[in-house]
Amino acid sequence: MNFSFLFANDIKIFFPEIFLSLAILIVLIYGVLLATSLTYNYPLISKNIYKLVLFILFLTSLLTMYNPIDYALIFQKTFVHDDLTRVAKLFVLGSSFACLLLFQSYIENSQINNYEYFLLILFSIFGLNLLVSSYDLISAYLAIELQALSFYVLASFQRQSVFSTEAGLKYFILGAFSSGLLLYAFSLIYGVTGTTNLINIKNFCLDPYFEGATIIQIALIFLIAGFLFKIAAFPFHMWTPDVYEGSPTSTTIFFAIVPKIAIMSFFVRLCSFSFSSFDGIWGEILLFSALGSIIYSAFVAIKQNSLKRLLAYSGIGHVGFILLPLSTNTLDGLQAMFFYLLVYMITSLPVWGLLLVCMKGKKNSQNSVSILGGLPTSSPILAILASLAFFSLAGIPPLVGFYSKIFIFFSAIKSSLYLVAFVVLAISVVSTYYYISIVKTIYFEKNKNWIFYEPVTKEKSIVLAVSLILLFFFFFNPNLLLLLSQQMALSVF
Amino acid sequence: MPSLFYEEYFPVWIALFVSIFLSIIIFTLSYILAIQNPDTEKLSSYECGFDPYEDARNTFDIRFYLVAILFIIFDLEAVFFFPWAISLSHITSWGFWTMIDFIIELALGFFYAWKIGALEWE
Amino acid sequence: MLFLLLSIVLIISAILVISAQNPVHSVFFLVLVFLTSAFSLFLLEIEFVSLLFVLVYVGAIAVLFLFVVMMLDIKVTKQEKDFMIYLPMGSFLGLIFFLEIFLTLQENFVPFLPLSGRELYINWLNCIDSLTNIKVLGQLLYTYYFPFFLIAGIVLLVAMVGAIVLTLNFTQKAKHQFVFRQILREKKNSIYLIK
Repeated sequence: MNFSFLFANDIKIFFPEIFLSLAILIVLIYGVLLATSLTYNYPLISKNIYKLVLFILFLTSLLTMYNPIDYALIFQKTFVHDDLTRVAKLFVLGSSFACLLLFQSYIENSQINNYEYFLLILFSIFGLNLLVSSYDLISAYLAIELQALSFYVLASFQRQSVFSTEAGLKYFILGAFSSGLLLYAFSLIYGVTGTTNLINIKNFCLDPYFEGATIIQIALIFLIAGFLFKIAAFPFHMWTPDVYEGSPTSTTIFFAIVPKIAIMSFFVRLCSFSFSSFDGIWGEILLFSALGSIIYSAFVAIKQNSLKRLLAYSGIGHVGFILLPLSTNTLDGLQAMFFYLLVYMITSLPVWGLLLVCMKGKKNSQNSVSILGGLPTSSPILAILASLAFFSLAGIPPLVGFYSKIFIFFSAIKSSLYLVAFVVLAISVVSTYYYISIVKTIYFEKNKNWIFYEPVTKEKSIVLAVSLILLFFFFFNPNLLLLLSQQMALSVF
Repeated sequence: MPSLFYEEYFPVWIALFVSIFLSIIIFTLSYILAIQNPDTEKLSSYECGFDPYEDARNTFDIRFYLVAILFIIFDLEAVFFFPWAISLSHITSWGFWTMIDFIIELALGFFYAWKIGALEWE
Repeated sequence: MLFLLLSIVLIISAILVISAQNPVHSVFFLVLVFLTSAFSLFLLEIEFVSLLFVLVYVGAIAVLFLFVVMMLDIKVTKQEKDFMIYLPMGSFLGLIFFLEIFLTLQENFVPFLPLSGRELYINWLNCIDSLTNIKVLGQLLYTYYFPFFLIAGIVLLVAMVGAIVLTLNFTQKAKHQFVFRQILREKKNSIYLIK
């Protein structure tokens, strides 16, 4: 068997990932050679590596964007390349690019001098990209583990801080548990169908004489539990506030923004493509989880004092909004889901960037909501930006967050989930209350203490400005995002 | 399920049972036949003639742990060699170079560990 | 028969892992769990994976567990007061869970037992293991599914980098012996004037 002939085209399609992995290895060696070189007197190279990583991400996204082939199943049908993977990968790469621009100054100030921080971010991006394009349970599991392992280390990167190590340990134990659940589900599915390939599983499930339907149902419960943990949805969300609060803020931003789209795009493939005939089961579970996370986060977030915890809870609520249209298992629902995901990523950038501005260096204590009170006097533009970003999260009209919410209501109503749509509408009023109360804190609360803010660097300001412009631009011209999300939704089936 | 599997491993079975049986015999006979009259001095733990004043377990350097983790990683690497070595005649040059690539990945990791000083001991 | 015995030992020792008072004892029970599961895998004719279990889990991971237990500095874990509060709910959920799995597995996997009457004759050709477990694995893993293999290598690399980053103290510098510098040292270059 001539394998180089067999895999010739596959390797060409897989070129962005190959480039990324080679780049990671080269950065590893380059970094360790430079960091331990006696001639340069053990230099701190994190800024150097940061620029290199930005360059690598840029090149990888170029390679992904200009991949000449539109649709292919590669490497013995274990990986897939289609519009969904292309757009999701581009968003993963782009959002991590923006995150890096946002938190570089934070890393410098909080003295995370090890260049391995950026290396681990690259590793996790590699894992996320693999997860987006995996078409087989084994490759998905490997990708999830690659991403999760680097995330555990990123969470506990500040070894001196008790909070950071606690966050890392919590995340590690619960994450390992959820990986075990996932693996059990995969093994049950393999035991019944004898295959791990998504297409073959789909064909098994469509067969009316398929004997293992009950086992598939149990496996689906485990599968959904594992994935709901990974995206921090309602019954499995308890780790989120602790991990988000404890880990370094740069890591928190990365956790909050980047991985959701990658995990969701594989999850959608699994639910709506492979187990589409079982949508009665997973649809109900996801609906329950979605409603639970929306209601729970709305009522818990009101009480939160710490800005990081508040944003973590609001993230749980947004996951609920993401899961709600998926549970309908319709094309409109999927489109609404992807639209919401993309908008959520764009909106989170200014919101979490605001957090970075408020965190002054290492002082983790200074993160209660009330410190936003000095923003209008010290930097009025930033105050406007912050309030607009929160308005967009709440879904108030001249911003694109309005569309993303309304599409979800439309998709729920189209699938005749009237009661659900009504309840979610009522609850989103509550969530709007706490978003607006943040805006109230910014503008109308007098703060007696002195408040110091991090100066906004040039890169940070560019990211904030661009994301704010996009929030307005997509409101008046949402066609681009609509088309992208439609492409993604269509390529699931 | 009748299979040749059990017949092939039959000598291993015999060796296993003989070893278990033999160790049980040795253990029980030495327990039964030996003369035992215990007293407090005999039963207390012995440390250079005086009472042990410290628990044997105390916290120690985390480097031991690091070495153990590195050992596991290279142990796993070695595990991947076995199937490769057995089926090398069937997997063509592609399989050979796959393994070389895998070794390079871990060798770079080893190089990293070496240069950063994870294997050093002061 | 042997399989049944082994699985009973496995379950009992798995229960003892979590209920043993002394953490070192529970690690030893964990080793017993690994050994018995390796043995049961062997009886299921998955000999490579069973040997791998012994090699990796008993040989390496159990050692790591012992290290961790030593580092924790816990002599004997006390029975928590909360235990009795959580027991009824936990056992109830566990029982429901167990029954669910058991009933579905019973429904789906029992007809394949040899006593079902469909094996009136034995096709001896099927019984010859022409390819052993390890050969099958080798022929697939390094050729058709080589991306998995390489990704596994990268996962191992991440584990290595992560372990080093989290544990190594970068500030301390080990003292080195530079042999060449010692050899190069002569009378001529070792005496110099300090102003």
